[in-house]
Amino acid sequence: VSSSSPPSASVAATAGPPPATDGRDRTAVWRYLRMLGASADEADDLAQDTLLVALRDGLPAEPERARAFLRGIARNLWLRTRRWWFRRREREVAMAVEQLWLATAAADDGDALIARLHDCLDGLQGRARQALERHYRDGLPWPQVAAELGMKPNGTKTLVQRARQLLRQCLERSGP
Amino acid sequence: MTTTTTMQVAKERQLDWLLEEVLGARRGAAVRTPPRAIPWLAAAVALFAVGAALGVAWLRAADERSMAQEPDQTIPWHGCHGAGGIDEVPADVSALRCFDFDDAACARLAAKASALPRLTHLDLSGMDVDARGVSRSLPITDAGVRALAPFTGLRWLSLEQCHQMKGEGLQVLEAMPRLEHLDLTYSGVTSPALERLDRLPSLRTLVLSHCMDFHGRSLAAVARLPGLRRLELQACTTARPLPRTRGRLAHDACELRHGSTCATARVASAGRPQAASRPVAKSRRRRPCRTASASPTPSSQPSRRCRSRRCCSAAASR
Repeated sequence: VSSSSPPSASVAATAGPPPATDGRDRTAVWRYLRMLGASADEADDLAQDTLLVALRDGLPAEPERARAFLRGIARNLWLRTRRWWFRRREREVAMAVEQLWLATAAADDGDALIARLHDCLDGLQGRARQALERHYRDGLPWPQVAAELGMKPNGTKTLVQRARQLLRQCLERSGP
Repeated sequence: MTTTTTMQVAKERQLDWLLEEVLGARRGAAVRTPPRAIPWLAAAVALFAVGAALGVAWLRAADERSMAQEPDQTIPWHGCHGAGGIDEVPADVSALRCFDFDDAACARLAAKASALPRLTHLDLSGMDVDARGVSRSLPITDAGVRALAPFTGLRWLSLEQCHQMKGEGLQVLEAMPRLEHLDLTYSGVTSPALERLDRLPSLRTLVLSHCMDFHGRSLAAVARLPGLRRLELQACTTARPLPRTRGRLAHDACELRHGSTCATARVASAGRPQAASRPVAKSRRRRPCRTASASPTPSSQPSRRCRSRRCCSAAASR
């Protein structure tokens, strides 16, 4: 069962070479992969692979360079899982994600973003909040959400688009 | 994709991740997997295969159509009447039809071969008529055929009506590597001469109709012609091939697509059609038989075209 929470277990607690990364790095890599578009399961696997590569090759001494190195490995592994005819587009998106990550989440691995989204969600009420919760929390598909809310699918789509726009604006307003 | 668009996509994915992490999503896969392209690829491959098959079939049909049984009427034929007309033959002639030629005229024409570099079609079967309207018999013999040796670029040669030509002179054709069509109708070609024809690798059409001086066993040598596609044996009443020859024809002449054998000899004792009267390949454009009673029986026709050696072996064994 996939989980939307980042894994907290540290890597390489066994004998052998000293661990090059800690659990914080794994969380950062996992979130970065999720931001790239990976599902929770994919992010689990790719984060594991990323850290294995880092253990094998070693990491730079400086923390910032080490994080950038890990993100580079994760990005390449992610792109490798994409089909080759979508890889060019995905590479462009990955570059944009890298910029966005550096601008919004690199300092604390996204903790502040998550906290801000909690606040923003508190300001979202009514059917928009209900639709988001039924879909993201309970995993219902959008047509079923629309049926529960007594709306047409297109109406739900518009409602969710507006809610997401509000959340984005809220995040940008409250951001650094 | 522009930078703004990619940044929008990145922000959408960031929001997806955040919502799923904050609200505790039970499902993953934020990136929508595009529909698989494999069915389209398979459809494209299948379409290409069908197109290729149709193209090959069309080309083969066009190839059959292009095999000229008669001189191609689209070719501008130049007529040459007797030895006296040789001097008037233009240098750029490609198709020459000669009337009332004899050995001397052939030798004289051959002496001018270097001046006719584009000549590829030569028809020596033309006969003028005398004052009474009766066509004269052609006096061309093997000596006249031997004189054609300088025309090494010939692709089409007709020696029809050369009754006195026994075939010894056909050896000169071995020096014509591009020769594709050879018409020996009403000639006196004999078995030894036919058995040497397998040295003509480019020959695709061979007309032996109304030749009555060769034995059917010579057809085994004809069957060895690698590219032979059309064989006409109409009214070859003396061709009495052995059963073994029939097998060789069926086995070797795999490229044969048209065999015309009307009024050809039969084996009276067995009551079955001879190899010559039993085409080795399905004749789809067979000429109407002049003598209905002598036409091959329908049961003697193979039911399918002979395309592969395996198929030919099966046909031979039938």
